[in-house]
Amino acid sequence: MTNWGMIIDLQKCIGCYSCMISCKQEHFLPPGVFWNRVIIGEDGKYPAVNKQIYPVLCNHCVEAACVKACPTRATTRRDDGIVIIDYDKCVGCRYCLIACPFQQRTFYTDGEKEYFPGQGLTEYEEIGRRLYPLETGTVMKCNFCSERIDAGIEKGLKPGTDREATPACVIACPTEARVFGDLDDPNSEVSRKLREEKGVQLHPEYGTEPSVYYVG
Amino acid sequence: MKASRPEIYEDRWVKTMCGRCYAMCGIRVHVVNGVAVKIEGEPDSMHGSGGGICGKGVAGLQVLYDPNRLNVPLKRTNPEKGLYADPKWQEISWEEAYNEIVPRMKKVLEENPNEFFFQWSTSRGDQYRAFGEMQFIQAVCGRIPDIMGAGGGGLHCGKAAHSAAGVVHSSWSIVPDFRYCNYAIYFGSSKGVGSGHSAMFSAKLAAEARHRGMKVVSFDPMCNFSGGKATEWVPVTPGTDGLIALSMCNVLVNELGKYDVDYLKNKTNAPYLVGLDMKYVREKGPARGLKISQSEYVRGGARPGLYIGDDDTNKPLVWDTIDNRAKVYDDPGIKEYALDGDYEVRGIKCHPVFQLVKEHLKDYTPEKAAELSGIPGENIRRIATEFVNAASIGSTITIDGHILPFRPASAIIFRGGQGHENGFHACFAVCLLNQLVGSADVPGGTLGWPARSLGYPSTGELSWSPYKGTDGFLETNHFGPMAGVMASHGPWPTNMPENNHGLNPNCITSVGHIGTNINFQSDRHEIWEKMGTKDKLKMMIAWGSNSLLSTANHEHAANALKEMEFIVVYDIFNNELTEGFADIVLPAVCYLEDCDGSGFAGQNFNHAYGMDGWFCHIVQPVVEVKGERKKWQTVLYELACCLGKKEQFLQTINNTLSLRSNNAFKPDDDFSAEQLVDRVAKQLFGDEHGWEWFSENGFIHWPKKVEEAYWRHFVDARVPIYLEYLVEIGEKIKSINEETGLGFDLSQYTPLISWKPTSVQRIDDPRYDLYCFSYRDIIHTGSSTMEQPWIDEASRMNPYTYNITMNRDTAQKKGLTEGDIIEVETDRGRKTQGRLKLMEGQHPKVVGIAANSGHWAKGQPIARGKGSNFDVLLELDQEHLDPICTTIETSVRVSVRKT
Repeated sequence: MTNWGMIIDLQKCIGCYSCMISCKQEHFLPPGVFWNRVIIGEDGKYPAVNKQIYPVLCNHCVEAACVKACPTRATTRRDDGIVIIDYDKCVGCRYCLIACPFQQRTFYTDGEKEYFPGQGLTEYEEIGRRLYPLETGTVMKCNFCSERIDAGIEKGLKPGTDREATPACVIACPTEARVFGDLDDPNSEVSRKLREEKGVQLHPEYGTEPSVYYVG
Repeated sequence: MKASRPEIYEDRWVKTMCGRCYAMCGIRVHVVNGVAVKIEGEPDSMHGSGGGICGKGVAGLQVLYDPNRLNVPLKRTNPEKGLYADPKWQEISWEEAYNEIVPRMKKVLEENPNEFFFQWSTSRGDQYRAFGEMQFIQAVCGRIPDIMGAGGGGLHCGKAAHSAAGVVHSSWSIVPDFRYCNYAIYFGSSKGVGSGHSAMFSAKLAAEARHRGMKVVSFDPMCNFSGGKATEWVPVTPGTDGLIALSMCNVLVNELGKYDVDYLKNKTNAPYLVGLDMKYVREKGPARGLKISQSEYVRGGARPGLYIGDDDTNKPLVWDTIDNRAKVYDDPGIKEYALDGDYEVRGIKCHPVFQLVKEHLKDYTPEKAAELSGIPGENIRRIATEFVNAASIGSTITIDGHILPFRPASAIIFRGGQGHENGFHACFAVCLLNQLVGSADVPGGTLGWPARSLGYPSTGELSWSPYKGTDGFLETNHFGPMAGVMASHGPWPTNMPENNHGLNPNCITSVGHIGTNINFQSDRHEIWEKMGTKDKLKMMIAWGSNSLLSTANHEHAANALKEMEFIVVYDIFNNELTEGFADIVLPAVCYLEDCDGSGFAGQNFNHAYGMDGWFCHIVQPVVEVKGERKKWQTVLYELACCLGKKEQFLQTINNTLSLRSNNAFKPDDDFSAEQLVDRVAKQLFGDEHGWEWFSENGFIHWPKKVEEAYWRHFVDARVPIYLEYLVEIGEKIKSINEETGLGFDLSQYTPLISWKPTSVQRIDDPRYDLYCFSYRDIIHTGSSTMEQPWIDEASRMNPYTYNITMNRDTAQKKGLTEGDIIEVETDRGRKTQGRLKLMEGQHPKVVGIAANSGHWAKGQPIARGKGSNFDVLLELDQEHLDPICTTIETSVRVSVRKT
């Protein structure tokens, strides 16, 4: 079996927002919608302070709360571990928004909202609406770039190794802080790093079994 | 309703370079149906991170497609100029624009080219473009005018850091050799954490190094970019960097007695004998001084062949302790250099430089540094000890069959540490720390780059190297084929001060790095009057530079801009400069529509360093140019033609780019950006590598040699740990001061690397109990990145970018709470406002503001009104410049209150 997962190395990450913006670019996401975010803060007391930079995205949980909450089975977990939303089935009830303990979901309402307010859609936004159609009135979130993975596999490429088949945020990261691959393959880089560097999940106490891990 | 998928009739990737900061990473852009839809890092090039890209880079699509881009030339119809003025633009044709510009330019150039001011941008690090602009100026003016420079020069740039890096590392800047470094000390630098030269290459390597276990100690007022990624964040108040570095040097030399004796003897002036006059004791007697004057140097592009020593037969002496007599420093028969002791040569009492330095450093105890910097003395002592231990003096490493010194410890300084009245000495102090442990341009140490290139293999072009110059010191012919276009980035050899009665006091404070602030200084008229200049700046062309917002204190800049009769701006947007002051605005292409050979030139901003290879990229248009925007080369060429200077323009290009035979432009040849790139490419890389080849392949690559990466070991040249030349320069400036009444501060013209408190540190009014400083945010460059909505979203998500930050305890003591709108006021009554964000990771005495926020131009609606403007707090006058290199003091003392 395949179980796609990701490790983010917080020691390598410098908080440049490349993941967040590359994701927006990849999926032509409208203003205010983020499938990737970077949460920045600090802990400790002066002068023993640590800056905290947490890039976050959908955790593609094994026991996903959103999957359980979805009354129309629009949100499902694929056999390869990717949690996806079928926009045709989503009725916009937003139960999943409340159920997700990681606040990774956005209800998309305004399809006309442009990045330069009052100045119309740019050429990039216009072609984006057609190349990567999003459905208003539905909920959306990170899909681990399933379209890249699926198309890549079809071409015989290996996600996590070949750029074309790897999520956009992973290949965009200038510090290579993100590693993507098959958690079920003990020889994949993601499994090796998880093992050797003892990756941890966000909020394991929720019991959702995230497929996104953090080290560093 | 779902939109229908378009029929795909075009689907291609274009290889080019990023233009969001001067690092200019290699990128590839996906174009579908004539629209650029994706930017990625170029995976096959280390001119960048090898595939990654930062957030600013991705957001480039929103530069390209910003509906606020200029599409046609504009003419001001409101004669009223000033901050916040409404220009009442009228759209005009290019022909009309040239008709407005050319007669005025002709007049000023005929009457006095010194009264013409050309300012370019540093937000893109394309030296090549700066070359093009300077070629234009040389061609139309017949020479380089007194005043020209990059917008933000002195404010955002690293005049002090470049000076020290030039002299010591033959480079523009310094960086740890992350592939091998185990211990890095940062003084106000973001190398490897998102900004700085070779930004994303450094980011990738630094991340790997941290992962491998490299320890980073960061001296920084804020635990954010550099401090936030450090193993150990050491909070400092602004302007104490040099003091801390010198106290560490003291620990090494006088407490631990650990330093690299071989390096000091063979690679520095440590053994040179110095008399009581603080000058070298020479073979035949005192030096006679310089032969070439500043004006010859700057205007003619000629290199001054010699500096303090008047020729090569009057060399400085050293003491040989075995033969017990003085010898010239490079006598092949020297058995053992003395580094200490009292000697007498021809009746002159003298000591080796190192002894003077060692004695001098005793003043810099960690306790003294603790008192002023707030860092406990024992911490400074511990860090110095860890540093020298990590340097593992005496160890070696074998790379490609060469046995090299291995010094995996590095200390670096950049903008934050150097942007003070004491910045010049601070940078040399950090260099001294490296020199003492022999950690300069050797594996693991501090690197200058790309200091040496042995050339593209099949043509030998693009070759430059440091070499042994006058008095044995490191000089460089950097810029290879471009040599002579730009002053080399030394400034080395330096020049003797002279009052040329022009507009630029850099002729007097001659150690000043290229570029000047004088034209915007509040005391400019007083200085010009005392210099006896009759010139007056009348016309300005700003070439992609927001000269107003990139100048320390836009209120001073506004006064200066009002004095100019005619201002032309070539830019992609309207901004605070155009709206307030421009008479004509010309619509520019952005980097994704541009075409040039930036990547060919001897770039000092963005090459890979260490053993990562050579990569030379081109910039090429990814989509068709919209509206009436024109490429910068086209505009300069057309202006030159209108001025009747076509032949001079083409000839200058041939000369400065060394275009020969078929590649040289003939007087009747047509000129275009593509033509220029094609000819330069063929000249450098052979006929098979012209425009067509580069257009398809994007870049050319060849491996680097050890002799290039770690050149120090292979180049027999010394660098100073004692700045003897400052003595002579100081004496000369003193006499100019006396003649003119100019009061240039002489207190830092001391050859011993020193630390002096800044005027800001000396303020003792208790009302101004806090320092305020600005920092480079990872997601921003210069003043041009606030307009992209994706970057705006990131900035709003960031807790600090748009806010004024303060230590939590400090705020509580002042009764301030998070979210308060506060006013920050300097002791000179300058004010700015913003929203308060509290931090633990901030020095209790320091308030922070991200650089370059606070836009108000209508032409950039996304940027408008975001964040707080820091620069308006700054003074811009001689008192607040480093007197040696004219870098601007970029901290202020403030009081803070809730509005």
